[in-house]
Amino acid sequence: MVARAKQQDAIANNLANAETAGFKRESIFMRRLEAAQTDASQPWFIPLQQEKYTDFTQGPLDITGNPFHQAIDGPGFFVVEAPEGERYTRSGNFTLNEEGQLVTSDGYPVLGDSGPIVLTSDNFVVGERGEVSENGVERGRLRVVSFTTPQTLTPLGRNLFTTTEEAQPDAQSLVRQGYIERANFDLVQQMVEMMTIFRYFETAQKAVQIQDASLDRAVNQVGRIQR
Amino acid sequence: MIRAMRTAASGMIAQQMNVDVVANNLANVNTTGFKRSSLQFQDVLYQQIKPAGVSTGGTSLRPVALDVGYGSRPSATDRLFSVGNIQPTGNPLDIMIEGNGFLQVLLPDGTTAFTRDGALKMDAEGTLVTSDGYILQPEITIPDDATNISIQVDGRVEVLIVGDDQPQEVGQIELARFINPAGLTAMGRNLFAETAASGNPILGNPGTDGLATLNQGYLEMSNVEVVEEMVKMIVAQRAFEINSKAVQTSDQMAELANNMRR
Repeated sequence: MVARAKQQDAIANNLANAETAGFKRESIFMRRLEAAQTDASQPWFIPLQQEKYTDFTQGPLDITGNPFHQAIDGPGFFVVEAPEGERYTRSGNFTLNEEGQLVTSDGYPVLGDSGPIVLTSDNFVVGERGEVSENGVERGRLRVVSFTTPQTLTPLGRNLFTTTEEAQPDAQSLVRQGYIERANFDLVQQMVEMMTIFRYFETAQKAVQIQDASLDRAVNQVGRIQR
Repeated sequence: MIRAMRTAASGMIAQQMNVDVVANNLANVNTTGFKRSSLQFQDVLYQQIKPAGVSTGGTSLRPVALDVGYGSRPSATDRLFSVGNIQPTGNPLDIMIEGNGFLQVLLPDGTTAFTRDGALKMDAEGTLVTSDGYILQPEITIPDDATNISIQVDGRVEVLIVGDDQPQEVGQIELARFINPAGLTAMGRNLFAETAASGNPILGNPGTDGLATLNQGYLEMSNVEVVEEMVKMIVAQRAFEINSKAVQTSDQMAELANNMRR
């Protein structure tokens, strides 16, 4: 029951982020501990280990027409300079700060090949490879990176991910200007998953009740002294 | 389980605000020079249940962390400064800024505000003001014997004086632009105020230095797209709904847990 409650927490988080740009669906699944499977002396005790899986598949791209909105078509991530260091994001709803740097909605500069991208107006074009040009003048190239095992990426909130793995320049991904990537889950599927978890939870509750009923019988009926 | 309830509630609160923003856009669909906003969201903190990179026995390390997020929150209202639809009015005091730039007006408290609303009027002295009576900066006064007011694309204001066949220049409309117009604060009444995020205003005559030209006899309508706002409203409503289902399910799970002991 505890494990199912955790799964429900994960689904609630997905659903709460239904409209978060570049959000990636997470699910918690369970597996038996291998040690327990081989330990025949304790067949009733099968601890479950919970694992998390983040689904990094592409989310749908929504056209917004805002030149500051960038979406990544492919496995890559934008690199942003958060106060705590370089972090990665798929959420491309950028804006400018007072110095004209391209920043996230939290004000963290988005990094290009040579530092932050500096613009003077909203009249700029971003090419498929992230090349930024304003009125025909090159303003740098947005860094797009990918990872060999994206599962090592840990979400930090604020749409940022961090990892211990080395980021590699990504040649596959295309940057789409004027688009926003939506969360990558299907509401129907999440709903079905939520119903399934609820029923499993219910089953586990019944199992506890049955256990309780047989203990009740053992304690109060088997041991009763008949007059 | 209680967490799932709060998490889903954060999603409901965020979507409620989304509808608020959409409703404001729709309410201003016919407001001169109105710029539509869209609400952006982000995920919040994650609770780490098991961190990545710790030993799982022997030499093997846990490759992936186990963490659960706490929901979502609105992160920004992005204001899109694209040019709105053009409406011909024929009124010589209506001007439209055909791209980048803001008119400057003097507020009663002595500060300067910025507006895209070019529906100018004249006050009793002939000074150009906004509909609220705020004086356009730099101040332009139309002489009382002027007959024909013409505002050129570069902002020069010319009038014909009775008995004179040569137009006479009475002022020059100046525009302001910002490096980051999305950082301006909306003050209501079609006015914007500069902030630390918008940067300082860069002043100039229309048509120079990245500023757009003016068009007399036209007004800029809002840049709200009704269909788009309707779609956003539907999506927000459904997202709100499904989050309420997550609250319900979590509640039922809590109820089951409470009923374990009969």
